[in-house]
Amino acid sequence: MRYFIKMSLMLVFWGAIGSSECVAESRDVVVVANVDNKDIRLDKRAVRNLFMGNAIDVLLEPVSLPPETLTRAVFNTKVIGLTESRIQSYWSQMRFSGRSKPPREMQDIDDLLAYISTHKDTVAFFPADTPIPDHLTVVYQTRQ
Amino acid sequence: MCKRLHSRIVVCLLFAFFCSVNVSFADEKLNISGFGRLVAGYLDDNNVSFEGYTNELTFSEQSLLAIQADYQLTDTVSVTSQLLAHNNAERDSGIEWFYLSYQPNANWLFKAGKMRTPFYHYSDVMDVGFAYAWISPPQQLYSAFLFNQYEGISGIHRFALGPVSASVELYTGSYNGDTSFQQKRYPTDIDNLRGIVLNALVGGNLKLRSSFITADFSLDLEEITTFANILRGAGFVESANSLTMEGEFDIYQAGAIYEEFDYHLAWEWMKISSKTILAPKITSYYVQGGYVFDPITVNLTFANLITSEVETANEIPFGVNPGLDQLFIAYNTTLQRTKASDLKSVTLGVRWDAGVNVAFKAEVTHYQGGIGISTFEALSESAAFAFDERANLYQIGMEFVF
Repeated sequence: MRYFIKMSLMLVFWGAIGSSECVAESRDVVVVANVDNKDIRLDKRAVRNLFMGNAIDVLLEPVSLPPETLTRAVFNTKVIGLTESRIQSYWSQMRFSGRSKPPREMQDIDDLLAYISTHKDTVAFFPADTPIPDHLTVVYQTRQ
Repeated sequence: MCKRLHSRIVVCLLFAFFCSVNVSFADEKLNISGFGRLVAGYLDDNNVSFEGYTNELTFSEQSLLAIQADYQLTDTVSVTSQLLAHNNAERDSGIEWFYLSYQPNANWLFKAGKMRTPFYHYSDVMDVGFAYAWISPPQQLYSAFLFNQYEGISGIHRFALGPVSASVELYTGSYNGDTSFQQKRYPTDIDNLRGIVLNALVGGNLKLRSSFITADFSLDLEEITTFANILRGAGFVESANSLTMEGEFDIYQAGAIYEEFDYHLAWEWMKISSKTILAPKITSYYVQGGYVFDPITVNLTFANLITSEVETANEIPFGVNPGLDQLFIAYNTTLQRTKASDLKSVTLGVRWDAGVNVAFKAEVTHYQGGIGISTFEALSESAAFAFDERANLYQIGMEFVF
């Protein structure tokens, strides 16, 4: 309930209410990778580390959606565990100290799916009800 | 005057560059980004100044604009330059960072060139106000009297150990430039700078950081050197030697940040030690808590700086003759003027993230501390006696990145 209220406030803040994506997307996400090993599964901590530029044993390139999207708000809340403003602060520290760069961003879900479909060893998050092509692997999903 | 003109030229160049970069954004190899801040501050005491702030409202102490260009030369090699324009005449405008990076994979990063010194958690992004909660990070640690750049090499290795995501950074280099304190600049040489930084993220919420830095330093304090030579000529060699600003310093640092979705807690501690009598021996720390009412964050910080007693030479007799008395008084006055003072502060701050790349902040800090290097500076001799060792600093600011 607390997360739901937080997410609602965040959506008001980022001006996302009223967008078509808001209506279409679900309030859970799946994390999908383009990998040869179909058995690979990640836990929440590993996904968080991947998308925050921290070291994990699996080397995958994270790809994200823009900050104002509902899917990213859900991902921030349920996986990263930080507000968008805290994440932006964190990346400004990483970028301007030359330590790491934020994930590449795609404009919408269609572009994101097209990108990871054609790039090996990439990983991205999608609304839980997104049809995922067979050649991609769901490596993590939030509770549905 | 010359420095202000220099700053303005750099600002003009930055704006001209910024206006022309829309073409460059199209080039995937070149990435242009930047940051800036507009900060106004006011100190409610007319006897002293603090970090350049007085009891007149000013925008000139911390306002700045910077542009960073990253150019990818190959898949693994890139070059980065950061051009920065300060509104503060005491700080240099120009190239702040300029380094070559080699990143063979996500877990290794090597850099060579001119970089910021990573003393503490936010030391290398001190100018990027968007990256932290405060307008002025706790002065007890993030004081300007340390040099903030070095020229050298660094290597970072990231690795995972079970639930811990960690990194180790090693760097070495030197610095030849100026150190500023009490609004004065002193030629400074830092050699044999060596440092190690350990970072660990435990379980996703707890960030730990520990570092150690050691270096040889030499500051040219012209007036003090002249006086030391007089003492040496009078046969007080031990006293003369105690007034040199050369030697080795070590800095130890430890810190922790615990982050949840709607609150965070932070603590950072450092200790500077040196055998040089004039070098400040300091232990500092802060504790901070913040609560998020997204998009508003409220922060409360307590910070403390504790100085160690200095063992001075006691070979100049007092009361023997007026000449020796003058030397005795001058020696002790010199020590007093170069002394650091204890400083406590409580800061209440509010940050409003008005968008993904802009934030507005307001904060008030209550300081308690004496006059000393890197704390309060008396505006006159009579003001030094009138100062009650308490002052409030009010600041508002806008931070942005692009």
